[in-house]
Amino acid sequence: MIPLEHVLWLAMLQVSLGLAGLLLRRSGPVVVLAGILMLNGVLLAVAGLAANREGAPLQAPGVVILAHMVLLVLSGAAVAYAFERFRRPLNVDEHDRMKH
Amino acid sequence: MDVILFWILGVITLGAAGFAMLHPRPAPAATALSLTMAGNGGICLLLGQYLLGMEVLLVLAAGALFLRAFMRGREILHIHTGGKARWSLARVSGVAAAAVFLWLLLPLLSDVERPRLAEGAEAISTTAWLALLSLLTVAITGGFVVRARRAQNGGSGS
Repeated sequence: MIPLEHVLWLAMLQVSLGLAGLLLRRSGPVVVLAGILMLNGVLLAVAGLAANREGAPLQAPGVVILAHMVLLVLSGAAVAYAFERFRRPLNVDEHDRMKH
Repeated sequence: MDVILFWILGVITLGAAGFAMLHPRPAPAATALSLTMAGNGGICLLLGQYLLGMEVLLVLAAGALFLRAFMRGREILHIHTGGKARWSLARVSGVAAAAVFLWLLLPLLSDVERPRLAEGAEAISTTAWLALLSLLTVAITGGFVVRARRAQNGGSGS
C-alpha cells in the first residue's frame, strides 16, 4: 500500500512543473503540453485519493475518467493542430488580444 | 517494495516532465510528455486504479497512432529515415512491450467491477514491474537509435 502523502507529493510536483511551463514557456504547443502535464498531476491525485479511501479502496468514478479522457483528447487535438497549422514557431506572447 | 517502485516510476515521470518543459523544441517535448503519461499509467495500475491506468495508456496509444498515421510522424519528429519503415530493435521492443501490456491488461478489464483483494496485488505488481522494464528498454534502445542517427547525420544532432 502506497501512502497517500507520497502520491500527493508526486502529483503536486507534476502540477507545479506544468504550471511553471504554462507561465514561463512561449511556444504554443509547449504551453498546451504544460496543461496536459497539470491534468496528469490532477489525475494522479484522484487515483491516490480513490486508492486510499477509508474502508475499501474505490475505483475512480466514471465521470472523472470520462472528463479526463475528453480533456486529454481535446488537448492532444490542440497540440496536433498547432504542429500542423503553425509550421513556423508560434509565440503565444504575440497573441495577446481577444480581437484583431 | 511498492513504494520503491512507485518512486522509480515517479522519478521517471518527473524527469521526463522536466525535460519536456525545458526543451526548446516542441516535438521532443511532446515525446518526453508521452513518457510521463506512460509512467503515470503505470502508477495508476500500481495504485490499483485499473480504469484510470488503462484510460491513460489507451489515450496515449491513440495519440501515438494518430500522430503516426495522419500527421506524418517522421517529419514532425525530425526522423528523416526515408523510404519504407524498417523493423529495428526499438520497434520490436515497443511491439513486444505493447503485447505484454495487452496480455496482462485484458484479463483485468474483464473483471474490473469485482472488489479486488490481496490476490490481485501480485498481478498488478507484475504489471507495474513489466511497465518499468518496458520503459527502460524503450529508453535504452531509443538512446541507441538517436546515437546511430547522429553518427549517420555527421553529428548534426537532429
